[in-house]
Amino acid sequence: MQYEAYVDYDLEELVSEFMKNRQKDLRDLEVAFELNDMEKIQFIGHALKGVGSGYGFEEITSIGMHIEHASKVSDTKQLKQLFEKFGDYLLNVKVIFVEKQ
Amino acid sequence: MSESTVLFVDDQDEILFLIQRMLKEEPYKVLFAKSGKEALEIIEKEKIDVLVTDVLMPEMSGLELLDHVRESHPHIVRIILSGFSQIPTLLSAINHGKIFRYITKPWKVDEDAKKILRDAIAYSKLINDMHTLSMNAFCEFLLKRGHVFLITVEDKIVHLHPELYSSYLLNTLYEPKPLEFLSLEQEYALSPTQKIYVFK
Repeated sequence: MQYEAYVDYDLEELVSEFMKNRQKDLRDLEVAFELNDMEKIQFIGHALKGVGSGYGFEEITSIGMHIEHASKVSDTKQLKQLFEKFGDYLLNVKVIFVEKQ
Repeated sequence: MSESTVLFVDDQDEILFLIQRMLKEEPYKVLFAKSGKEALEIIEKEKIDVLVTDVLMPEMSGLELLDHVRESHPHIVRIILSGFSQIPTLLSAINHGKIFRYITKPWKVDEDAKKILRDAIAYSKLINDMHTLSMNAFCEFLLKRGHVFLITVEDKIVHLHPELYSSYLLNTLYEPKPLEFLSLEQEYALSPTQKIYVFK
Protein backbone atom coordinates (compact mmCIF):
# COMPACT_ATOMS: atom_id res chain seq x y z
CA MET A 1 0.00 0.00 0.00
CA GLN A 2 1.19 3.53 -0.79
CA TYR A 3 1.14 6.32 1.78
CA GLU A 4 2.05 9.98 1.61
CA ALA A 5 3.35 12.24 4.37
CA TYR A 6 3.57 16.02 3.97
CA VAL A 7 6.57 17.26 5.89
CA ASP A 8 7.80 20.84 6.32
CA TYR A 9 10.96 21.65 4.40
CA ASP A 10 12.74 22.77 7.53
CA LEU A 11 12.39 19.27 8.97
CA GLU A 12 14.03 17.67 5.92
CA GLU A 13 17.34 16.98 7.64
CA LEU A 14 15.59 15.24 10.51
CA VAL A 15 13.38 12.86 8.56
CA SER A 16 16.03 10.17 8.12
CA GLU A 17 16.69 10.06 11.90
CA PHE A 18 12.97 10.21 12.59
CA MET A 19 12.34 7.16 10.39
CA LYS A 20 15.23 5.26 12.01
CA ASN A 21 13.69 5.95 15.40
CA ARG A 22 10.34 4.62 14.20
CA GLN A 23 12.02 1.44 12.90
CA LYS A 24 13.47 1.01 16.37
CA ASP A 25 10.03 1.60 17.87
CA LEU A 26 8.66 -1.18 15.68
CA ARG A 27 11.38 -3.58 16.81
CA ASP A 28 10.77 -2.63 20.45
CA LEU A 29 7.04 -3.19 19.97
CA GLU A 30 7.64 -6.66 18.57
CA VAL A 31 9.97 -7.59 21.42
CA ALA A 32 7.48 -6.28 23.98
CA PHE A 33 4.73 -8.27 22.26
CA GLU A 34 6.79 -11.46 22.53
CA LEU A 35 7.21 -10.74 26.24
CA ASN A 36 3.52 -9.88 26.57
CA ASP A 37 4.60 -6.54 28.02
CA MET A 38 1.42 -4.54 27.41
CA GLU A 39 2.62 -1.64 29.53
CA LYS A 40 5.65 -1.14 27.31
CA ILE A 41 3.49 -1.43 24.17
CA GLN A 42 1.12 1.17 25.55
CA PHE A 43 4.03 3.46 26.34
CA ILE A 44 5.46 3.22 22.82
CA GLY A 45 2.01 3.63 21.26
CA HIS A 46 1.49 6.76 23.33
CA ALA A 47 4.86 8.13 22.22
CA LEU A 48 4.11 7.41 18.54
CA LYS A 49 0.80 9.19 18.86
CA GLY A 50 2.51 12.23 20.32
CA VAL A 51 5.33 12.53 17.84
CA GLY A 52 3.84 11.53 14.46
CA SER A 53 1.73 14.43 13.32
CA GLY A 54 4.14 17.01 14.68
CA TYR A 55 6.56 15.92 11.96
CA GLY A 56 3.84 15.52 9.33
CA PHE A 57 3.26 11.78 9.72
CA GLU A 58 -0.41 11.77 10.62
CA GLU A 59 -0.66 8.03 10.01
CA ILE A 60 1.94 7.34 12.70
CA THR A 61 -0.11 9.31 15.20
CA SER A 62 -3.18 7.29 14.18
CA ILE A 63 -1.36 3.94 14.42
CA GLY A 64 0.12 4.95 17.78
CA MET A 65 -3.30 5.85 19.11
CA HIS A 66 -4.72 2.48 18.06
CA ILE A 67 -1.74 0.61 19.52
CA GLU A 68 -2.21 2.44 22.79
CA HIS A 69 -5.90 1.54 22.92
CA ALA A 70 -5.40 -2.10 21.89
CA SER A 71 -2.67 -2.61 24.48
CA LYS A 72 -4.91 -1.28 27.22
CA VAL A 73 -7.34 -4.16 26.60
CA SER A 74 -4.60 -6.64 25.63
CA ASP A 75 -6.13 -7.11 22.17
CA THR A 76 -3.27 -9.19 20.76
CA LYS A 77 -4.99 -9.86 17.45
CA GLN A 78 -5.41 -6.17 16.73
CA LEU A 79 -1.92 -5.40 17.94
CA LYS A 80 -0.46 -7.86 15.44
CA GLN A 81 -2.39 -6.21 12.63
CA LEU A 82 -1.28 -2.78 13.77
CA PHE A 83 2.37 -3.80 13.86
CA GLU A 84 2.05 -5.14 10.31
CA LYS A 85 0.43 -1.92 9.21
CA PHE A 86 3.12 0.12 10.94
CA GLY A 87 5.87 -1.91 9.23
CA ASP A 88 4.14 -1.56 5.87
CA TYR A 89 3.81 2.18 6.39
CA LEU A 90 7.48 2.62 7.26
CA LEU A 91 8.48 0.69 4.14
CA ASN A 92 6.16 2.44 1.71
CA VAL A 93 5.54 5.97 2.87
CA LYS A 94 6.46 8.63 0.36
CA VAL A 95 7.65 11.84 2.00
CA ILE A 96 6.62 15.05 0.24
CA PHE A 97 8.28 18.21 1.48
CA VAL A 98 6.14 21.32 1.63
CA GLU A 99 6.45 24.93 2.77
CA LYS A 100 5.29 25.44 6.33
CA GLN A 101 1.68 26.59 6.32
CA MET B 1 10.77 43.37 34.00
CA SER B 2 12.90 40.24 33.81
CA GLU B 3 12.34 37.77 31.01
CA SER B 4 9.92 34.96 31.80
CA THR B 5 11.13 31.37 31.62
CA VAL B 6 9.17 28.30 30.60
CA LEU B 7 10.51 24.82 31.36
CA PHE B 8 9.33 21.91 29.22
CA VAL B 9 9.66 18.32 30.39
CA ASP B 10 9.29 15.37 28.02
CA ASP B 11 11.31 12.20 27.71
CA GLN B 12 11.16 12.37 23.91
CA ASP B 13 13.84 14.50 22.22
CA GLU B 14 11.72 14.71 19.12
CA ILE B 15 8.87 16.38 21.00
CA LEU B 16 11.22 18.83 22.70
CA PHE B 17 12.69 19.72 19.32
CA LEU B 18 9.21 20.45 17.92
CA ILE B 19 8.48 22.68 20.89
CA GLN B 20 11.76 24.52 20.46
CA ARG B 21 10.99 25.01 16.79
CA MET B 22 7.45 26.20 17.50
CA LEU B 23 8.54 28.76 20.10
CA LYS B 24 11.72 30.12 18.54
CA GLU B 25 10.20 33.56 18.02
CA GLU B 26 8.28 33.80 21.28
CA PRO B 27 9.38 36.53 23.71
CA TYR B 28 10.38 34.31 26.62
CA LYS B 29 13.18 31.98 27.56
CA VAL B 30 12.61 28.26 27.02
CA LEU B 31 14.40 25.47 28.87
CA PHE B 32 14.11 21.71 28.43
CA ALA B 33 14.41 18.65 30.64
CA LYS B 34 14.12 14.99 29.69
CA SER B 35 12.97 13.72 33.08
CA GLY B 36 11.29 14.84 36.26
CA LYS B 37 14.59 14.57 38.11
CA GLU B 38 16.35 16.81 35.61
CA ALA B 39 13.46 19.28 35.78
CA LEU B 40 13.72 19.51 39.58
CA GLU B 41 17.45 20.16 39.30
CA ILE B 42 16.82 23.01 36.86
CA ILE B 43 14.09 24.45 39.08
CA GLU B 44 16.52 24.60 41.98
CA LYS B 45 19.01 26.58 39.90
CA GLU B 46 16.86 28.77 37.65
CA LYS B 47 13.88 31.03 38.19
CA ILE B 48 11.09 29.20 36.39
CA ASP B 49 7.75 30.90 35.78
CA VAL B 50 5.88 28.17 33.90
CA LEU B 51 6.38 24.39 33.90
CA VAL B 52 4.97 22.27 31.07
CA THR B 53 5.27 18.54 31.56
CA ASP B 54 4.34 15.34 29.80
CA VAL B 55 2.45 12.83 31.95
CA LEU B 56 3.74 9.44 30.87
CA MET B 57 7.45 9.41 31.59
CA PRO B 58 9.69 6.68 33.00
CA GLU B 59 10.87 6.88 36.63
CA MET B 60 9.06 10.04 37.72
CA SER B 61 5.67 10.67 36.10
CA GLY B 62 4.50 14.14 35.18
CA LEU B 63 1.95 14.06 38.00
CA GLU B 64 4.63 13.21 40.56
CA LEU B 65 6.70 16.09 39.24
CA LEU B 66 3.72 18.43 39.54
CA ASP B 67 3.20 17.34 43.14
CA HIS B 68 6.85 18.07 43.97
CA VAL B 69 6.76 21.47 42.31
CA ARG B 70 3.43 22.43 43.81
CA GLU B 71 4.91 21.73 47.24
CA SER B 72 8.34 23.27 46.80
CA HIS B 73 7.69 26.10 44.30
CA PRO B 74 3.97 26.92 44.41
CA HIS B 75 4.48 30.15 42.43
CA ILE B 76 5.38 28.16 39.28
CA VAL B 77 2.39 27.95 36.94
CA ARG B 78 1.92 24.32 35.94
CA ILE B 79 0.68 22.92 32.62
CA ILE B 80 0.26 19.35 31.43
CA LEU B 81 1.26 18.32 27.93
CA SER B 82 -0.73 15.21 27.16
CA GLY B 83 -2.93 13.23 24.80
CA PHE B 84 -6.69 12.95 24.96
CA SER B 85 -6.35 9.36 26.14
CA GLN B 86 -5.20 10.72 29.50
CA ILE B 87 -8.49 12.50 30.19
CA PRO B 88 -9.18 10.87 33.62
CA THR B 89 -5.67 11.86 34.69
CA LEU B 90 -6.12 15.36 33.33
CA LEU B 91 -9.45 15.84 35.05
CA SER B 92 -8.03 14.64 38.34
CA ALA B 93 -5.08 17.01 38.00
CA ILE B 94 -7.34 19.94 37.17
CA ASN B 95 -9.81 19.20 39.93
CA HIS B 96 -7.06 18.89 42.53
CA GLY B 97 -5.62 22.24 41.52
CA LYS B 98 -2.40 20.79 40.24
CA ILE B 99 -2.46 22.53 36.90
CA PHE B 100 -3.42 25.80 35.25
CA ARG B 101 -4.11 24.45 31.73
CA TYR B 102 -3.24 21.53 29.51
CA ILE B 103 -1.88 21.34 26.00
CA THR B 104 -2.91 18.36 23.93
CA LYS B 105 -0.25 16.21 22.37
CA PRO B 106 -0.13 16.09 19.40
CA TRP B 107 -1.21 19.70 19.14
CA LYS B 108 -3.03 20.58 15.94
CA VAL B 109 -2.34 24.29 15.79
CA ASP B 110 0.82 25.94 17.06
CA GLU B 111 -1.06 29.14 17.80
CA ASP B 112 -3.33 27.39 20.32
CA ALA B 113 -0.36 26.12 22.30
CA LYS B 114 1.35 29.51 22.08
CA LYS B 115 -1.74 31.26 23.41
CA ILE B 116 -1.96 28.89 26.37
CA LEU B 117 1.69 29.60 27.16
CA ARG B 118 1.19 33.36 26.88
CA ASP B 119 -1.81 33.12 29.21
CA ALA B 120 0.26 31.10 31.67
CA ILE B 121 3.02 33.70 31.66
CA ALA B 122 0.48 36.48 32.22
CA TYR B 123 -0.99 34.47 35.09
CA SER B 124 2.49 33.94 36.55
CA LYS B 125 3.10 37.70 36.49
CA LEU B 126 -0.23 38.28 38.17
CA ILE B 127 0.63 35.82 40.95
CA ASN B 128 4.01 37.50 41.47
CA ASP B 129 2.34 40.90 41.61
CA MET B 130 -0.12 39.60 44.20
CA HIS B 131 2.72 38.21 46.31
CA THR B 132 4.55 41.51 46.07
CA LEU B 133 1.39 43.36 47.00
CA SER B 134 0.74 41.18 50.02
CA MET B 135 4.38 41.44 51.04
CA ASN B 136 4.27 45.24 50.71
CA ALA B 137 1.06 45.40 52.72
CA PHE B 138 2.66 43.25 55.41
CA CYS B 139 5.76 45.47 55.42
CA GLU B 140 3.62 48.56 55.94
CA PHE B 141 1.88 46.89 58.83
CA LEU B 142 5.19 45.93 60.48
CA LEU B 143 6.67 49.41 59.96
CA LYS B 144 3.62 51.04 61.53
CA ARG B 145 3.99 48.78 64.54
CA GLY B 146 7.67 49.71 64.87
CA HIS B 147 9.03 46.25 64.12
CA VAL B 148 12.54 45.61 62.81
CA PHE B 149 12.52 42.96 60.13
CA LEU B 150 13.96 41.58 56.94
CA ILE B 151 12.43 39.62 54.09
CA THR B 152 13.96 36.77 52.15
CA VAL B 153 12.95 35.07 48.93
CA GLU B 154 14.57 31.69 48.41
CA ASP B 155 16.92 32.50 51.29
CA LYS B 156 18.15 35.74 49.75
CA ILE B 157 17.43 39.03 51.48
CA VAL B 158 15.18 41.24 49.37
CA HIS B 159 14.18 43.80 52.01
CA LEU B 160 16.20 45.03 54.95
CA HIS B 161 14.85 47.32 57.67
CA PRO B 162 16.92 50.54 58.03
CA GLU B 163 17.82 49.72 61.64
CA LEU B 164 19.64 46.64 60.39
CA TYR B 165 21.79 48.50 57.86
CA SER B 166 24.58 49.30 60.25
CA SER B 167 24.83 45.82 61.61
CA TYR B 168 26.82 42.87 60.49
CA LEU B 169 24.05 42.10 58.04
CA LEU B 170 25.15 44.82 55.67
CA ASN B 171 28.28 42.91 54.80
CA THR B 172 26.64 39.52 54.72
CA LEU B 173 23.54 40.12 52.65
CA TYR B 174 23.81 36.96 50.65
CA GLU B 175 25.44 34.74 53.21
CA PRO B 176 23.36 31.77 54.26
CA LYS B 177 23.44 32.50 58.02
CA PRO B 178 23.36 36.23 58.70
CA LEU B 179 20.83 36.02 61.48
CA GLU B 180 22.46 33.96 64.17
CA PHE B 181 23.61 36.81 66.42
CA LEU B 182 20.26 38.57 66.39
CA SER B 183 17.36 37.64 68.58
CA LEU B 184 14.65 36.44 66.28
CA GLU B 185 11.19 37.15 67.63
CA GLN B 186 8.94 35.80 64.94
CA GLU B 187 9.21 34.15 61.55
CA TYR B 188 6.41 34.39 58.98
CA ALA B 189 6.25 32.29 55.85
CA LEU B 190 4.29 33.99 53.11
CA SER B 191 5.09 31.01 50.92
CA PRO B 192 7.63 28.16 51.08
CA THR B 193 10.17 30.45 49.43
CA GLN B 194 9.21 33.85 50.86
CA LYS B 195 9.81 34.59 54.55
CA ILE B 196 9.72 37.53 56.92
CA TYR B 197 11.96 37.58 59.98
CA VAL B 198 10.90 40.00 62.73
CA PHE B 199 13.53 40.88 65.32
CA LYS B 200 11.69 43.30 67.60
